[in-house]
Amino acid sequence: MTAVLRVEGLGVRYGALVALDGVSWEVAAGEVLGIIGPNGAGKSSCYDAATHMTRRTGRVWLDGREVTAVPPHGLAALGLKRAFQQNAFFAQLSVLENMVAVLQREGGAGLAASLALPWREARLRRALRAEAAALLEEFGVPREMHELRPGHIPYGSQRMLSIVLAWGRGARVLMLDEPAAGLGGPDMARLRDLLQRLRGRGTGRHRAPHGPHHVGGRPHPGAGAGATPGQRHAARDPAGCAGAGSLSGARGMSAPILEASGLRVVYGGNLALDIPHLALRPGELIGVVGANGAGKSTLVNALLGWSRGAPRVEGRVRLAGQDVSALPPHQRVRRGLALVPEGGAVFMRLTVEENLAAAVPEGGRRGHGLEEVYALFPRLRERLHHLASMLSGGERQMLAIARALRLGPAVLLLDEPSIGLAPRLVTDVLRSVRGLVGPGLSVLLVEQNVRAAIEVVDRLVLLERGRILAEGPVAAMRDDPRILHAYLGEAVA
Amino acid sequence: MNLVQQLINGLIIGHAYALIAIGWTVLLGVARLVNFGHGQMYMLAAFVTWWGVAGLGLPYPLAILLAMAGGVLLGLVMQLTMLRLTFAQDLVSIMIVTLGFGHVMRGLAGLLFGGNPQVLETPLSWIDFEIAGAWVTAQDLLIVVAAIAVFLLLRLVLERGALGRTARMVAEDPKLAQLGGIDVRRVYLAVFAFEGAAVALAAALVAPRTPILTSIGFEEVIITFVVVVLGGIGSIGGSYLAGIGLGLFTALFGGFVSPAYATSAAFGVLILVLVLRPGGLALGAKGGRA
Amino acid sequence: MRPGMSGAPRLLLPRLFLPRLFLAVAGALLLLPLPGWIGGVHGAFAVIAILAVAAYGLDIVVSDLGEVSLAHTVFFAAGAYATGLLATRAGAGSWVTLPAALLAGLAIALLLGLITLSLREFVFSLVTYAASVVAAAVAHNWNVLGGSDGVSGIPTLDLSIGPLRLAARNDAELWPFALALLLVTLYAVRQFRRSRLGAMAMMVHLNPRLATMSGIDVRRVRLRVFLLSAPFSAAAGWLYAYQRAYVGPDLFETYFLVLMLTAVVLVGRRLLLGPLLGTALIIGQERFLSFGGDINAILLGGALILSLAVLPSGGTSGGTGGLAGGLAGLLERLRPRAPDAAAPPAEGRSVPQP
Repeated sequence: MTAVLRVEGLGVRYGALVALDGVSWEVAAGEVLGIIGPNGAGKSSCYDAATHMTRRTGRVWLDGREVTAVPPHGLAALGLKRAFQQNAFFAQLSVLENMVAVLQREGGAGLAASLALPWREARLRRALRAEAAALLEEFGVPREMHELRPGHIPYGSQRMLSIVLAWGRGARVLMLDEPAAGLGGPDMARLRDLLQRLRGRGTGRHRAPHGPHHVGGRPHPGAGAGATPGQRHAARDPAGCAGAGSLSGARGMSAPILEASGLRVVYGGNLALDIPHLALRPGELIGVVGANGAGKSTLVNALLGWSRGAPRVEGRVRLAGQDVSALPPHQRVRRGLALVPEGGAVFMRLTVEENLAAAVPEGGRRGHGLEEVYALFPRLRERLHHLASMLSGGERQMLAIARALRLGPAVLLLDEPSIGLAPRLVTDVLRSVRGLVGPGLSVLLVEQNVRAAIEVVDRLVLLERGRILAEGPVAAMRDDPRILHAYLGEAVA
Repeated sequence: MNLVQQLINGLIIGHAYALIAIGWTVLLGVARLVNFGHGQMYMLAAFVTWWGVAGLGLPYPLAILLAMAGGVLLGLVMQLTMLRLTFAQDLVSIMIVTLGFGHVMRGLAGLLFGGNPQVLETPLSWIDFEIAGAWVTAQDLLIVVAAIAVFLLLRLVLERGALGRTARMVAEDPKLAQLGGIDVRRVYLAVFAFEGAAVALAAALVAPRTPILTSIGFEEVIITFVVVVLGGIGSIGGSYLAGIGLGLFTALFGGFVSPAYATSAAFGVLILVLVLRPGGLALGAKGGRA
Repeated sequence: MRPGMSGAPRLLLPRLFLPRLFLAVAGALLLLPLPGWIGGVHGAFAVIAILAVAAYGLDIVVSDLGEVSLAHTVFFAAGAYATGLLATRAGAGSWVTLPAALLAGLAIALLLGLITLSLREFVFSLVTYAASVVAAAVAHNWNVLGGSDGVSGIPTLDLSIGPLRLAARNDAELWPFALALLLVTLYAVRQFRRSRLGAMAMMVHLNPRLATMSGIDVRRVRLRVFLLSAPFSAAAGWLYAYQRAYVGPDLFETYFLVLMLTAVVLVGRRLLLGPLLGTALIIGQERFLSFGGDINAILLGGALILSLAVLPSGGTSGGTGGLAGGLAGLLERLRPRAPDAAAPPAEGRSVPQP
């Protein structure tokens, strides 16, 4: 079977770090190839290398023709399309305009034609708009969203949008980069349908994160076609579960170390969060779970008064009894509230050592010493003098948590620490966090991975559409059907 | 046109260039910011120094301090106005806004100090030395000494230890730095205040060499740019060496070829370097490559 | 046109070509006799139109491509100098000086464009700024260009062909030509934005990585848009030379640069009539409400600062900003919008892009 896309001997180096070495694979027409592996295995580098977005060794053939020297934009013209891991779109244009722009690249009116024959350009434009609208609907972005900006539509729809923008008018090979990451149950189903339909139109290739996830129909051995996230579970430890369960009973009615009242967040006209009351007790580990778009990240960001965007935040936040609502983020940090934002936020241009050294506790707090941190995350000691940009995603996550611990917080907010970590590592990290919780440290853990979270938390809070749907001790909540429904949609494990 | 004289001249001019550019080096290297009002700040500080000496009758050192205070004030006002843009790291808008500030400063200078060219007289300008067959004034020596002092001080403070680290953290990701407990706002204000003080110091020391007009400062930005780019973004030592090199180049070019086109020639050299080495000399990922 | 949050202006009318065309033509026709009705302000109107055209050249680069070019004063001056020199030294007629001016601008743009091909953001801007400094030095010192004295005694505009007299001996007669140039520019800019190149420019501006993966050669698009923008400013310089009858190194002063930039951002980015209204406001203030050169400079600089630093922009890059953006933001605040719980709330995570 002739390969549509073939790569041979791909190699990528970032300085001394060898990200990819002698990788070869090929995809045949109509085939779906999955590339899986734990974090740091080089999947991202593989894609970057194949599409010539980075310096690399090796050769690439498309439809039998060698395209090794073709620049990235040329590859797209030849039919090699790629969607990125994070949603990619043109933020200031509406959803429809995003699609029209991409279509225009392939079929719009040229400059000369626009100047000389304006009526023809107008007609062409109308046709493109219709085509764009149809494509968007087909790929799962409904008509109601077309006039909105991509930043204002739900995460799952943004993912669909990113895929259809990458698809354009069609592709010989479509490379999807962790398309299901961060999607909840219903979105996952839509993605699965979409990929099945795309398959019928040509070759698709995608990569799954380290696990037999979601999108079924892949012939890859061991993929477990049709597996749902519910079936993927970390190794259970009955002793640990019981331990977690009993602790919650032992906690008394002490004053909350962190309390939020009337917390509301508005992003560009949309009410993203509406929490009348939430409290974290000293020595407690609360898990905040919910499907994507539920407002989990919004919640922890709002507690710190911090955001990468510019939302409107109202409400009161009390830390150790003191009202910190008026304080800027860095001052809340100094008072003992630390946040590890999602994505393993570290400073890429500093070394591991510098990242850790820079995290210094203030206000008389005693943070974790370096030796304690190394005991928790031995990998960091091994990579001490490496730039953070050279670490794998999982290692960066560990570094981020280590930094936060070094600040000596009384309350630690963790936003999806399991993202990018291999399942084995997820358990380890969460167990370590559990071990740290005590009278001096309380933790609020935002997690998409409900199973892993249930193992370690005392209480569970389920968010949906910015509101608390349910909350209670984990023993009572763990089998609540609402959790499963929020994540899996109709397909329940 | 004595070669030795030109070389000495070049060294002095080079130190002047390095001193003029140091504010930008820190601004770019620490805060990833630019200041297109740089030339006008230079012009305004020169006027303030002149006014301190000629108008208020202050001794020269006090006038220098007055100018530096003014520079700090200007820098703070600019950054306070632009804080939102700085946080958003909207470099395009920052460029345009600082251009706007430059224009305002132009109008301000004309309004406060009149449109006539002034000459800044300092006692040091009258003291001459002869070194290796060339003449230098004490003022020139002061420039050299001051430049070296500032550079050493900065190198000490920034390239080692906590302050340097903080600088790099804020340069890379100010939002993340907030989560590390750093008051990023204060860092930005400090950096801009430094830029104001540094360019004012440079103006106060270098201005006695030429008449002061509201139109000066135009070329200073270019010189600064050339020094900073050639020296490597954010590299203190690099911009010192680049300044010296540029000074020697313009002195020799101006002395033996044409004084009017010296700056243009320097710019031409920069273009050559940028084209031949599109890596842009340590520009790297920071706003250099497409 | 509502303050556009998106690329194409919103259509308040049915999407038929003819009614909008009719309105545009009617508007243009009304403008023609306007300075006469107001009374002897043809000079001001002509200057507004000319400088607005220059600003449109900059507008394409700033609003669509998202880069700050500080070299458009050079294109403007190049057009003016080419015109002045050819008209006085070689006795060339207006039909010769026009293409010469356009070519001069284009040639410099090509040179600059090739130099800055791999450069972005502030390095690109700095190189363009440096180019203007170098050009100013050349203009001041080169006798061929008249040195500090410049070129004076430029004859009046004369585009007559055969029996058809198309000359402009004074401002009142020049105004229709300026208006015509302005209308042509407006049309060209509008069509550019709707063309494939315009879409590609916007994509390169907003998300270069995605643009590349969509098959766009980023460098080539930037060069093409930069080249496209130069002739507008050069044409403005051409007409300016005739209007003033003098060209000199004063064209390189920061005044013109700040004027063009302010015109582009004051009213709001990517609004078709933005630069025109901006230029009108600025020149209008200078001519009819002047407080003296120095205070005018402070006002102008202040307006530029205001537009970008003080007024809230709807997303700094690619958003509207300026007065229109500020107004839109104000209206949105005043309108009581019950946060729609049914509307999908935006997750904070959704923003980061590759």
